[in-house]
Amino acid sequence: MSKFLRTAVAFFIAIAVFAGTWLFMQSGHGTAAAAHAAVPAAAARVVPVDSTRCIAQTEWMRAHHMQLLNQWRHDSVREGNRTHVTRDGRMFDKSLNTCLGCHASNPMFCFMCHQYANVKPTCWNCHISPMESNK
Amino acid sequence: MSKYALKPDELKKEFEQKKPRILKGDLAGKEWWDLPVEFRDGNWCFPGKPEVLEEIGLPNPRKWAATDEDWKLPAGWENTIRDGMKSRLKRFRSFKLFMDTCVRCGACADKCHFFLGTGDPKNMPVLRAELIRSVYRNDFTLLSKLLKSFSGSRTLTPEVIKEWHMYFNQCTECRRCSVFCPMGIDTAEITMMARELLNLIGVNNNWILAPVANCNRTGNHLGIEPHTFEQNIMSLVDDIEELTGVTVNPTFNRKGAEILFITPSGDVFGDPGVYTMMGYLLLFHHIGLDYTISTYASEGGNFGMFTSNEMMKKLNAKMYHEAKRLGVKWILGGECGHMWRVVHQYMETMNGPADFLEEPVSPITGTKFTNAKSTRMVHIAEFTADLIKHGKLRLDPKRNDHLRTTFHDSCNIARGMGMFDEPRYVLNKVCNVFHEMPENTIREQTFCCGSGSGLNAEEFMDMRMRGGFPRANAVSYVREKHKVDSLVTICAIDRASLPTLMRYWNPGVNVYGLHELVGNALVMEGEKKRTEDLREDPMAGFGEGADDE
Amino acid sequence: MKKVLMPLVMVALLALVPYLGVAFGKLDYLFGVVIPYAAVAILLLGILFRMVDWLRRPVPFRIPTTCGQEKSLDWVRQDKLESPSTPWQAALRVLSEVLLFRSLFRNTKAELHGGPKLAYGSDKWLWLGGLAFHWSLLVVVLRHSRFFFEEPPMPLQVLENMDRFLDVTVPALYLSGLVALAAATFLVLRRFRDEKVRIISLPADFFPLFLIIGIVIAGISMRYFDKVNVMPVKALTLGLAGFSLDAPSPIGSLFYVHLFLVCVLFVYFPFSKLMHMGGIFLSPTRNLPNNSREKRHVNPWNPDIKFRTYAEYEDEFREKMKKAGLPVEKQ
Repeated sequence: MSKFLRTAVAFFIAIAVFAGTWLFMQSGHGTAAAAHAAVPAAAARVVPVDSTRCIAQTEWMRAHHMQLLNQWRHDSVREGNRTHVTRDGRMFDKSLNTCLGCHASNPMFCFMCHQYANVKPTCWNCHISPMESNK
Repeated sequence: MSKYALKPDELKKEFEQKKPRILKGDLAGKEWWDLPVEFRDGNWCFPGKPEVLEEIGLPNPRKWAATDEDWKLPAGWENTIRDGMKSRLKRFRSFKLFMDTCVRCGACADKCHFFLGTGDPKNMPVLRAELIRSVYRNDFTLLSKLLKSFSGSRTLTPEVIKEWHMYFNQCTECRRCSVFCPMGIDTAEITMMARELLNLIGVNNNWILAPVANCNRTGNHLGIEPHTFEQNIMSLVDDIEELTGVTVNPTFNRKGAEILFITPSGDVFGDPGVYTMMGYLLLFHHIGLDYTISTYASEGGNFGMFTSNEMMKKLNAKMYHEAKRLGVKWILGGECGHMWRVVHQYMETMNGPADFLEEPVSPITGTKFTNAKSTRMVHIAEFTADLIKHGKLRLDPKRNDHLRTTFHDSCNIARGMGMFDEPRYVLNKVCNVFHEMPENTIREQTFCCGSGSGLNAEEFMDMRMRGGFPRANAVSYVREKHKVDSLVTICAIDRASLPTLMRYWNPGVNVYGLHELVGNALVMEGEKKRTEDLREDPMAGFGEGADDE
Repeated sequence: MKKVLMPLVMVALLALVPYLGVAFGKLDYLFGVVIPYAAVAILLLGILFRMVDWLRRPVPFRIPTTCGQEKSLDWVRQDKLESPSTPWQAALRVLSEVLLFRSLFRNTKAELHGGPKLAYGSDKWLWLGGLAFHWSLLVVVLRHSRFFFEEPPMPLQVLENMDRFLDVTVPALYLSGLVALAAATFLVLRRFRDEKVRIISLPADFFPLFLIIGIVIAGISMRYFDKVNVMPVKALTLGLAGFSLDAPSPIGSLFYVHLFLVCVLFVYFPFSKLMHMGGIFLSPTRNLPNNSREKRHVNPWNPDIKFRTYAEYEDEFREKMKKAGLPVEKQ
């Protein structure tokens, strides 16, 4: 009996401590992101940009853009490889700004879907979102 | 040793060969429904005698044996079983739920003393229940009818009946599995239903039905008629006088007594139960209790419980009936296991309300037994614990110094009533040496003696010694570690069955009732110098030449 | 082994049905709208029917399994959780079973040693695995609320955020899915590994496990590997939540596999052992207070039984009783 109660209490304390710590860290993270937002985004590298067509099919982009952006981040930040070559040979700078270059014309472009699907991307923790930059 | 059991060494060898497994035999690739059912010496009880069945009006009286090919089941027995199941599923939510909610997680598997002792997979509580569930699913649930092999259902055949008879009589309704079941499924409940069903078609056990018939006619399991019952208690009175020099005065069927005392008839006739009876008589004399014993309601136990709900009610009805006739204020019950399951969980529902009695109050201490204020029946261990707590007893625990004790929780008291601390309190006050058995074998996890629920028959010896193995093993643990030589219980079936079990597994360990030790320790007014306990065994330090205080 | 293969093949075939139906039969409407509505209706009505069916049956006797000291003399300490004496205490006991699997926590493992000696060791793996399985599935179900609400209620959002705190993948990893998969796999494996559990297992035990594993794998694939555009999914699920009958826009067939298997689970649920979810609340060995001597429990069908009365008894034994000096009613 007491063994069970002790374990149950320990279990709940552990969960509570975890939840508390996590919430605390989350709130800290939020302010940090806000501070970052004040820093201007790095200037775009000189890479030929063909802004008439997107880098891939719309359908594919809808399902996979988050994976592509994640890959880009890894390539550019970790490996220094900043050039994306599409299947048809066009080249793009691996940067969120490449996307925003076209898509930020509609400040709601990202948010419409994300809000609708209740998806919370972590992009805007560091990057300035089109909603803010267009203010 | 019984011819119905293996020699201890042979059984030990069987265990040695399969260790550390509990399961016996190679089961790889086999399914449980393919395993044969084999009746052999020692694993079945003799069936009810025709005259016994006729006396209590049970169906299909005939001569037969479990080893027969043809069990002479009555015409249309399949429908009898099916209708019987249907009606019980309707009347008992428990039965219906326990058929439906098992997830076969296997937590119960190695909790059953019969499984631990036999290694027979069908003695895992989950499979015991599946024996009947497989038929239930076949006959009563929609999906399973469509997908037979998917849901493991099967049709009712004589082979299934044989299997039921075998395995629902290898369950002592001890409820240990239900302690561990995450769904709270109680195999005792399922076994009770299965035995009711089997009784409908005359598949039964004489060791249960003969006591039922006796109890109905004479008031007690042994069939003792009133004059003999009285004589036997009076001979215990003589023994007490010889041993202690004190004359106790029990009365019988006396109207106007304050308390009616009911105990299992095993305490009046069986060895070592009679010593417990002597303990009660000494205790009541010591405190000057105004009580009477009935020859009509002369049985605490209730083998109706192992037959059917109706039979349980029929036999139990005598307690209130007699209490009302005698005009007592409340009832005091002796040490017994299943008797207390009936009294605690069934009696007032079946035969109440007990509005002709008064709320029990101890006449000695004035304590109100509020936990029994409706049923109005008090357990002797509650009663005695209260007396000791209030300092109403003169006790000399040194008089039990010749005994090194441990305490066996009886299944029904433990898991059907929840009384753990009162008997321990009493025991600690009446003796000086007490050691608990290991944690997983006491209190709510206590192991059955292996012979409960009407399976204490001589011809069932092999199963009894196997089923009692986990209990005996825990006793041998404290015996080796603490030199324990006395197993104290508060159950009449324990007192009848554990001595045999101890002789088989732990020779030299004796079995005692709690109130026998109380009787030993009581310092009676006007007693002579005590040198022997109630069994006439010498006490330690009280013999010739020993210093008297 | 037939009893493992049969349910495995069943789940595989069931997974194939929507794939073929959507990829080749263009049956999006059937699998996206008709079947889900039907499945949810069967689930809800089925559970309701089963619960009512159980509740209609009486509880004739008060039969709690007492796992602790009963309420007794004032100075004896009652174990209020394991031997409750009031309905509230009994309710707590049921909750401890439902939320924490209290009884399973007691689990031991018996072994035979030389001597012979029986040894019992604590065995909490089943408890841990079971708890992980059920809790993670609950979290999985709750965080799917983001598909059925425009904006899920705050507590569900918090829960979802916590589930994805381990931000190691894109999209963020849901721990619950991983735990559910691991726990379900453990529950399957223990049915093979322990020979006692192997012999008690039926195809009906493997089927729901395989089904759930199938659902989880399809869900995980959709999120992390074979990506499905979430927009039409949300449109469909929001529509379903609002009882809309609109046809869904095209969605990857993997989604339909996921959805169809969930529908199968819904339909299977009320007619199977999965109903233990409701049954646990009704278990009479757990949900009744142990107070039957304090308060009379009434059996609605308490039968009238003729018992042998004292008068009949005395009639048979009167002379013997008189001779023994026992008092009698009639001379």
